[in-house]
Amino acid sequence: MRRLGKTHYYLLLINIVKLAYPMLKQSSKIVAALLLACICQFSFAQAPYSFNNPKQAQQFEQLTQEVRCIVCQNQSLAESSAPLAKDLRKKIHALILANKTNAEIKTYLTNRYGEFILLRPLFTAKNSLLWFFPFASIFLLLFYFFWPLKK
Amino acid sequence: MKLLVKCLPVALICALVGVLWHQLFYAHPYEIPSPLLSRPVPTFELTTLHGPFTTFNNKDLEGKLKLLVYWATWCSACREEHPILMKISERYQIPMYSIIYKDEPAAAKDWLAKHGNPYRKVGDDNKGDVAIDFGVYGTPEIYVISEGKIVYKQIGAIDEATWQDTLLPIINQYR
Repeated sequence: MRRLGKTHYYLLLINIVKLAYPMLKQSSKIVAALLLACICQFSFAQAPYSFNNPKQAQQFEQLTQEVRCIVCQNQSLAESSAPLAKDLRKKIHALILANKTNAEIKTYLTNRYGEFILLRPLFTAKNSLLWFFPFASIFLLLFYFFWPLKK
Repeated sequence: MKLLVKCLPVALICALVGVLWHQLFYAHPYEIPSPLLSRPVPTFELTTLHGPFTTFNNKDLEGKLKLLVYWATWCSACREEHPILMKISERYQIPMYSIIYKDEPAAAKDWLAKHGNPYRKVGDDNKGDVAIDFGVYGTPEIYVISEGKIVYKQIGAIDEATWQDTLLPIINQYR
């Protein structure tokens, strides 16, 4: 194969740019979403929180991993560095110091932001389809395997 | 019957794919339904930007229909929305209140002096504490409040179309 000269590289580069430019132009929304994702991703060192005992520290650790950052949606509060996530971590810290239980803090959050703020959906009648669908589908699969339709 | 049983898995999978397809392309995951709807306005007390009143609290929002706007000068969507809010206050005579979210009071004052102030009172929520009680997560947010209860929450900037098609019908319903 002939070795590629400098001009070939330039042509290649120009073609890539030509191809990519309209895509980039159209996808400003995607770019915005990516930017948001970047803001959420580059998490700075978490502000050190002090607790009265190791149990509270563990409670904080657990809760911030179970609560969704509403701005970065698929990240937990522990992972996110969005300003709202920082504020909510501060709030949770204050509530833990006030000796609130996990359930009380979760109620506090869902009263304000709705159930969506919990990364793990609640086990309620409304969510029953969500919880039981996987088991039901496995059951159905087994049923079809072991229940021959022939007489 | 046999056919029905045979088709059931296929139908189920089609339904599942349909739901996922809808959620992926047509749902608005950023618009989270607020649990505050039809509940009383959270209690709060903030200092105001302008006189003659020095405080703004939940009691100011009791009575007839009012709008509460959560905004900030650092939020570009809020700045874009401002002319429409000005128009609304001039055209419809709806009492409008606002709270600035984690903003410099001086910057907000400047902005309102330059571009017009549609609000009766502007509260200063510099720590974002009251915002948590309101469930604010994306400024600007507009709360429609009637008889001290939140009846609707609009997330994100509005334009003329959103005002005419969404907000105004709701407002007329409660006015």
